[in-house]
Amino acid sequence: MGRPASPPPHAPLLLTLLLAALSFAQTLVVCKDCRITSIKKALELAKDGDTILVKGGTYREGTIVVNKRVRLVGEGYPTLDGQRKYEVLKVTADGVTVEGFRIVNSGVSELEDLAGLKVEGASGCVIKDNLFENNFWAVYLSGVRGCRVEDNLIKGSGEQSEAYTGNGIHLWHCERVLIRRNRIEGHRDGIYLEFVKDSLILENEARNNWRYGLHFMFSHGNTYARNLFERNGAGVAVMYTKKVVMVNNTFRDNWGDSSYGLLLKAITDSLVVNNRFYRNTVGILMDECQRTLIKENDFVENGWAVKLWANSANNTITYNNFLANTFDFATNSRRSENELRRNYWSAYRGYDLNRDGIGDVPYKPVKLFAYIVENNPAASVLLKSPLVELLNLAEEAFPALTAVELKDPEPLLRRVEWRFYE
Amino acid sequence: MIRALSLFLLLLLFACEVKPEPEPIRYGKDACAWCRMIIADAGFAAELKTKKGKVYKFDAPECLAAFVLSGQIKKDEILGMWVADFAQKGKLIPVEQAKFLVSEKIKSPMGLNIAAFSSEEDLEEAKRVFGGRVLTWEEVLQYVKERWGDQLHRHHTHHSS
Amino acid sequence: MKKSLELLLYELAHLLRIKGLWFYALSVAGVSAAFFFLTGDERKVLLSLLSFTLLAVPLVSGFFSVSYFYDTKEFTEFLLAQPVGRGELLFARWAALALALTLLYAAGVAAGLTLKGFSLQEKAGFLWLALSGTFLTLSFCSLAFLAGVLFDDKAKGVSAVLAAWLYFTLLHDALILTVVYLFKDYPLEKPVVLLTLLSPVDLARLLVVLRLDVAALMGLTGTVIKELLGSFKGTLLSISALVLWSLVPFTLSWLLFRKKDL
Repeated sequence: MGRPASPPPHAPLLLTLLLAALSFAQTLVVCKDCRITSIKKALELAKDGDTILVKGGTYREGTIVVNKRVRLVGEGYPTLDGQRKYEVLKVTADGVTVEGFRIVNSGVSELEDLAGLKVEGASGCVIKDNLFENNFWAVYLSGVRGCRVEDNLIKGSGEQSEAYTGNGIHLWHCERVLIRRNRIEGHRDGIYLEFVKDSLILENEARNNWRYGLHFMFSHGNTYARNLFERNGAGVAVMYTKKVVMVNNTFRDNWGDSSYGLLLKAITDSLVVNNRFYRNTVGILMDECQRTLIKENDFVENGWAVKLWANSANNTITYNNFLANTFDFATNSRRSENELRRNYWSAYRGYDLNRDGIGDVPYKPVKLFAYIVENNPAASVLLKSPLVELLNLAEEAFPALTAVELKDPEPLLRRVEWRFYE
Repeated sequence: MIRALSLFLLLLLFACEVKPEPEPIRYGKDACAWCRMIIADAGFAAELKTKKGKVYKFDAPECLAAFVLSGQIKKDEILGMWVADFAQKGKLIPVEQAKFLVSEKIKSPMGLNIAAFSSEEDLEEAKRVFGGRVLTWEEVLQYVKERWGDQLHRHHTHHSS
Repeated sequence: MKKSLELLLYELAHLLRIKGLWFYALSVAGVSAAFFFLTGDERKVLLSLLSFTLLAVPLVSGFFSVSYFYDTKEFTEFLLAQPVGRGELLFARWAALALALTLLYAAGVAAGLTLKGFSLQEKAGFLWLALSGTFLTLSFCSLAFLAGVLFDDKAKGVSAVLAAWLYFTLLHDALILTVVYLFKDYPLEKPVVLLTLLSPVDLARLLVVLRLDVAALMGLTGTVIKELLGSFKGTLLSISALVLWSLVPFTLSWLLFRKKDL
């Protein structure tokens, strides 16, 4: 009780002063039978550094604006209800903690992005262990620095409505934010970042969001690791961004006519390492990508493991496992300025006479049909047609027939062993 | 074979009568022909139709502008262009009849902050809320060119061989 | 009518005594069992069986029917000397053949599946496959009868059926591909769907493919095709087209046969 949420400055003198000040910090208790029955009232009475402890029950107070440095703590998950009319909580002060609430039914608006919890222009917030249900936007950070969003469970209405479902965790013009161990479903994008720098997205699970599990726009220098993206409209879209690190994520069952596990659109100098792509319509779709390394990933039973468009160059795809994908690769150009080397392809039929673990014949992963469809989408009506099957057989028998130059000159004969950090 | 071909040519004749109307956008399904993003927001979508009847859909007016500026489709090939009415979500209006509002506070999907309106009143209302300046379609093209100039030519990707 | 039925049953009994046909059923059973043993994944089995069906069923149905038509010509002439209508006779023979071939194909697939037990996940998929196999059988029986009535010479008739098989399994798709290349600046989804209506093999293929996960690989073109051929109306459209493919060639042969003096 009464301890500061975020550590004070390091100078010992300041610390002493602060500790002295803290001895005056108090805890205000809010409940139906208490002296203070509304959170708004408690906020009026509170000073910076105070804790407001809210006990169970449902609070319908319109929009609660938190403009002081307080810890707002719920006991037994009290419900804050926006009654489909209001933004529920709006934080404008630095160093605010919101913990242990159930925040539901934010308003819906055509003009404004109303949220369950919005933090605007503040720093050092902690949003932890809350339940968000049926909000337009759930957690919305705008112009925020140095914040933590952890252990929240976020459920959207699940309605696929083009106008009225916002994102689960939405960051706009933020820096140094940690988004960790949240579970998000039923929103438009699970996690959305636009103009966000130097942030970490770790160990989140985004499922059944109707557009993307995670969506990056113009957000440089971020890392996302150990997340799970499952059954979203499409898994993850990383767009117009430099220096993204993508490690140890799982992209699973993102399946549909326009779906994919990971879209890399206009991405430069990034890393895609140690990820698992299982049963996505397209594992990775690369459009306008430069100098990106794709290494030690597993691509298993995807429709296409990788679609690499001709406008992508100087990318390196190496030491990956391509296992039982319907098509390993597709591209829309005969030539490609990307490095494809030393991957394991379960469809490879070559041999290794000198027994160095590297196949003696190059592997050409782009089937003629994949090339045709990439250039003429209407040709996809011939999927599984005897003509196409015959073409595939012919290509296997006579590799010279392949239309596309792209090849792995040193295909591996054994699966690449790499460790997934569970 | 000949029968099939002649039938197809007949069909093409039908196809030549392309209606100058936008095709409905399947939100959450259709992808933007410029930025690849899945089109999700009915307040910002856009569409272009060629005289031959081919349809390109976009998630934002700025993507339509960029597509036009990139020259992938020649000007005289274009039958019509439409943008979503920000105030009447789901409604597509011809770009010539639209008024565009550019304001930092409008979060269009590709970050150039453009919204389109068909009615003068809606525009005034939005201007009151967001502030910003009003542009015509020609001015939007100019604005996108200034902001995205360097990107517009890298793109030329699809269907090159 | 009663006579037709008698003839049909007689014919059917005769057909089911032909060893070659049982060999067909056994091969179908063998192939489907083999697919099951090679992979436990039903969806893969279904796709492999579809490929097999698209190639084998039209070929076997067409080739066997046309050969049978010529080989039993003398017997047909003998029957025609009896008080029996020409139309009735032809119908009974066609129906018996189509029925026998369909039954044997279905029995083959079913036998293959039983080897693996009946706990199928993809029941609907296999039913669509059976339906598509049935329509292919009917269509190619019909085409075979048309060839048989059109050409007196067996060599010509058989060649015609083989040509039709080649056309519908490979060349028609090549034609679609050419059209897609030539007219790439146009919206092609609808024309392409119309072109598939002109081939029973394409129709049969899409009847199954559109119901499977794999259809997602067709991308947004697939979305349009699913609306055109996979929706309720679209399914009606493609099934009607397949019914036409099954009945029209035979009806033509029936009309010709009734007028013709053998």
